[in-house]
Order: sequence, then C-alpha cells, then structure tokens
Amino acid sequence: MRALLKLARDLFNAKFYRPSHLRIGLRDYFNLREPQHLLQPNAVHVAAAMAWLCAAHDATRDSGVSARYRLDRGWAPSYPETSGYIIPTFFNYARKVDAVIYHERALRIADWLLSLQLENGAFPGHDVGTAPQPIVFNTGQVMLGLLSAFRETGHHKYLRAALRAGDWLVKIQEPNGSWLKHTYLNRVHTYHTRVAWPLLELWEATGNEQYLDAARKHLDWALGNQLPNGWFRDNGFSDNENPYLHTIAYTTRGFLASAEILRRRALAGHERYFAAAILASEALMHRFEIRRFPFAKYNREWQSSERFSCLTGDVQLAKTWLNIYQVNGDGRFLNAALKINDFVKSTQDLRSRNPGIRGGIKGSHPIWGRYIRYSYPNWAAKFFVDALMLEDEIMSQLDHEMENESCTALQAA
Amino acid sequence: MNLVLLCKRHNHRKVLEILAALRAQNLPVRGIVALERREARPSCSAIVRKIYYRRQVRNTPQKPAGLPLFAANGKLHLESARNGESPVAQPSLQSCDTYKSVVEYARAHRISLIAVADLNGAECVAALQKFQTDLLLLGGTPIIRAHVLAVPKVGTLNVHMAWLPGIRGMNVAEWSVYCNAPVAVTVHFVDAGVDTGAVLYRERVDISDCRSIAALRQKLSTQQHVTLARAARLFIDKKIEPQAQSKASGKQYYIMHERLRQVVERKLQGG
Repeated sequence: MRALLKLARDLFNAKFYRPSHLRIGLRDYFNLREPQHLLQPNAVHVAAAMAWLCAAHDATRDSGVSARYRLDRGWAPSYPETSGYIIPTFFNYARKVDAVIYHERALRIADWLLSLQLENGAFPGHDVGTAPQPIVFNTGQVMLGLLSAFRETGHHKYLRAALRAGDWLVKIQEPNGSWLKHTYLNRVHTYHTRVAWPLLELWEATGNEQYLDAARKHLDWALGNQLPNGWFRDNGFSDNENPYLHTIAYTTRGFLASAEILRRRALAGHERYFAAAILASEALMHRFEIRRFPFAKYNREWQSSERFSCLTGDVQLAKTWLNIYQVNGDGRFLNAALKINDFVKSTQDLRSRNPGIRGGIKGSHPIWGRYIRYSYPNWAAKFFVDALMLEDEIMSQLDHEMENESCTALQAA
Repeated sequence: MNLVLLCKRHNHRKVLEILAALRAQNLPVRGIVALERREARPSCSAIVRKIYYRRQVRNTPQKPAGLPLFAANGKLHLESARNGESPVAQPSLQSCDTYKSVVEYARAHRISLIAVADLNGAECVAALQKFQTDLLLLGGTPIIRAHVLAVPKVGTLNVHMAWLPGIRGMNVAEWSVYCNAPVAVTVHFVDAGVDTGAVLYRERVDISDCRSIAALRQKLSTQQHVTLARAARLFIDKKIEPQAQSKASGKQYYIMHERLRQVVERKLQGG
C-alpha cells in the first residue's frame, strides 16, 4: 500500500497528467520503442537532438545550457560542466551543416564560462545558483570547451582561462597522481582520466610539460585501478557504489583520448592507455551483445542487477566503441556501436509537442530508472549527437572504401 | 556407436537434411531428442506492443529493410522467423524432400523420437541416457549446458559455418566475408565455451558463385550438413583426430547489424 502511494505521489509530482508526460510514461511502460526498420536516418535524429540542445540553451537567463528538462519543474538552470563539453559539439555540428548559428552559440557559451571562473582558476561544480565550489572534474570539462573555442577562434582569452584552470589542477593534484581535494563527495575518482585529457590538450597547445607530467601521473594512477577483467575501482560517484555506464565510459574515453594525443606526439606509453580502454570496452561489448540490453550499472564481475538503461552512458560507450574501431579496425566494435545507437534512437521522441521532450534523450530508459530520473539531461543529447555524427562519418568512409574496392575489381575484370 | 541427434522439433528442414546426410554416410541414428515448441501466452504488454507496431508499420511509407534487431522483447524476430525458416530458398537433399516433418521421417525409418520441453532439462538428460548415447550431434540448438554435454560417452559434435578458431559466434558466414577470412565449415566437439571445443574437421567452401548473403547462407547450410556427416563417419572410422584450439586465437562475433550486412552484400555482389 505504501509503495502504491509512493508511486502515485511520484507520478503526480512528475506531472504525468500532462499529455506529453503521459505519452512518455505509456511508451516506456509498454516499451513502445521504434522498431529498427522504422528508425529515421541519423541526420533526422541528430537535428532533433540539436534543436533540443538549442532549446536548452535558450531556456536559461544566462548564456549557459540548461542542465536538464525535468518533468516536474521544467528547464533547470545552466550547468557549467556540461555546457563546457557541449561547446565542441556545437562547433562540430556547425561545420557539418555549415550553419554559423551553432558556431555563435558555442562562443556564447564559452564567453559565459569565462565569467564563471573562480579566483583560483577553477570552475564551479553543480548548476548555477548554488554557492560556487571549485570542483576538479567540472574544471576539466570546462577546459575541454575553452580549448576547443581557442582552436576554433585563436582567441587567447580562452587559452588564458584554460591555463589558469590547468595550473589549479596541477597544484592540487595528490603526489600519487589522483585528485582528492575539491572532488565530488571528496573522494578519488578513476573517471578523472577525463581531466587528464584536457591537461594533455593544454600541453599540446602550450608545450608546457608540467601538464603532460600531471596527466600521465594521473593516467598511471588510474591504470592501477583496473582489474584484470577490465573493470575499474573507485569509478562510481560514491563509496561502495557500482559505477554507472556513464562514469565507466568517462574513464575509457579519458584513456582513449589521452592515448590518441600521446600517439600523435609519438610519446611512449600510449599503448598501455589504449589497452586499458579496449579491455574495459570489450568486456562491455560482450555483455551488451549477450544480454541485448545495455544495463545502467556494472559490478566488478561486469554483472548488473539494474533493469534500466543509462542512455547517456549508452551513447558515450557507442562513441568509445567507434573510436576503438577507428584505431584497430575491429568490426565487432562498430557493429555493437551501430546497435546501441539504434537502441538510443528508438527511445528518442521525435513527435512530442513538448519542446523539453521532443528530440531530447532521457536520463534513464524507462524514464523512472534511477539515473537522472524523470529528466532529459543536456549531456545525454550532447553525447548522442557526438556518437551519431561519428557513426555517419565512419559509415560513409566504409561506403567510400567499398566503392573503391568495386572500382578496382571492375578495372581488374 | 550410438548416434543421437539433438534438435528443435519444428526446425524440420535442417534436421531432415542432417538425417539425410547421415544416411548417405551409412550412419544410423539411434534416436532423436527434439525440443517441443510451446507457444507462450502473450502478455498484455505484448498485445499493446503488437498493436502499436502494426500501426507504426501502416503509417510508415517505407518498407521494412530487414529483421529488426531491437524488436522489443524479441517478438518481431520470432514472428518473422515463424513465417518461414529463413528468407533463403532452402537447399534440397533428395532423400529429405519426401518427408514433411521430423516425426514422419523418424516413423518411416523407425528412429525413436523423444520430445522434451527444455534441451537443458532433466528430461533431456534422461532421454540421452535412455538412448545410451555415445556421440551426440547438434542440429541447430541453443547453448547446451555442461550437465547435458556430460552424458554422451564420446562427446558432442556441432557444425559451425566458419573457419575455427578464427571466427566464433553468430552470423559467422557474414563475418567471414566482412573480415576477408576464408569461408568454411568446421565440425568441432562442444565444450562449455562458445565454439571453443576441439576441432575435428574443416572444409573450405568456394563462394565465388554467391552474389548475396542469402545465396551464401544457402550454400553453407547445404555444405555444413554434408560435412557434419562426413566428419562423423571419418571420426568413427578413426581416420581423423580432434585438435584442441587455443581460445586466444579466435574472436567471438555477434548478430550483424543491418548496415554491416549491406556492406557484406556489396562485397559479395562485387565478387
């Protein structure tokens, strides 16, 4: 009885009496996802997700991107961390569709982020409106946005801000390479490999080796957290919590992106970071292919007791798999990425009349799953766009190779 | 040596072909243990989904491009499969064309047939014990668990549509083409892993005349039953020995996505 009352209260709070919310609730309850053969081309899904991101950008009073659309309260305030890493997505999409408007939006976000930088060089965690607290991970993610703005425009104000942030990260790093102070819940996180990545980008931009050393120190520390089966310790948000696919994918992406930078600069050691990312990603690929469903959390045996999917993590993982395919050409990773992207596409509502829902990607599928419950987070839409655009790039390259092969065969004949 | 065939009862075509191939090799089958297909009662959610998908299909102008991989709860998969064993025109082995079902074949050739509800259940173990199984042959079954595999005195043989140990898993014929690997069929003993048991016999297959996945699968399907029977004959005559395969020397593949299948189709069309 108590459980029923709680459910009724939850449904009422999430305003399931509104037609657009009820529609989502029913779709998820009956698992009415689009079958694969009725899915639209990637471009349609990407355009819808970008329209959603623009709506999230326009929904705030400042120039940041609203953290999420919540069924109970509507658009949330801006979120500096994810606004930071949304910047490169806007730049990439602007190039893809050749529309300057997305480029302008990216710069507006970058300029807004500059105004948030704290005295010590760090960037604040949480949504705007709460007391600003310097947080390591969030600082790293904002740096990714600022550095991409610097690469796009050549304006040194972005680089200067990134340098101040980088200096702060180096200053507070622990001797063993981890970050403990100014972290989420004041504990070490293996997913800070995604902080090592912007430090390496900063080293690439400036040539200052202190950033390289700090990044490598952290990556080596994170390598020590990997079990022989690929799973990472200290990778959840809190103690004794099994990590979400979201943070697992953060870690693997951090390793992969860092390894790619080191490889590009012909520095030794990148193979170890590639191998770490591939080990974890391959284990996840097998789990996904066997169960045909990407579960939200995984324990140290790569098993999951959850019955919902963390859609953000799904598309992040798809991107990692696609990146691995680009490195080693193993078609199994491409195959799994195509499937998981289809899965997330099938959960995207393209027809809702509610702009907070139409084109957005839910935190969890079904929407009452525990990750960002009853909400559409901006980072899910961002990673979705990234994954689909990379998929398209790879598939068109594959098509091109096939055409070349056919031409060669014809000539030989 | 007592040969027993383990199969799905409704998979008539495939099983009949295996039986015909074994007969051609003069290998009598002691018994057949077959999975009885039972229709589950659809749940309320399943009915809603069915209505919804029908409506979606009706409202969408484009034609379905292939089997949906992510059909919620797998129902669409089953339905497509139910309409026919596969979209490929089935191969013909003369002697199996005269029988409409495995039951009919078993009756005509006086082979005992035991239907079980679960191929990994106690009922199946008891049936295999009743036949005093020496060599068990798999004719298109789901994964068979260790306690069932422990019953046959000599072992369990399976035929795989690719070169082992290189390409394990599912849709392996397509993956062989995709990876530019040799297209072959392999007969191997079954162990607890997926396609990791000792290899008994391999045959390369010339696919230069296959211009589509359907044609490729048809050719390999015909070939694999003949190869299974041949390998069983050679093994019983002690002319071949199983060779252990190293787990690290192969990769496990899964159902191929429609877009990669299109790549394979184009590769086959290009010869």
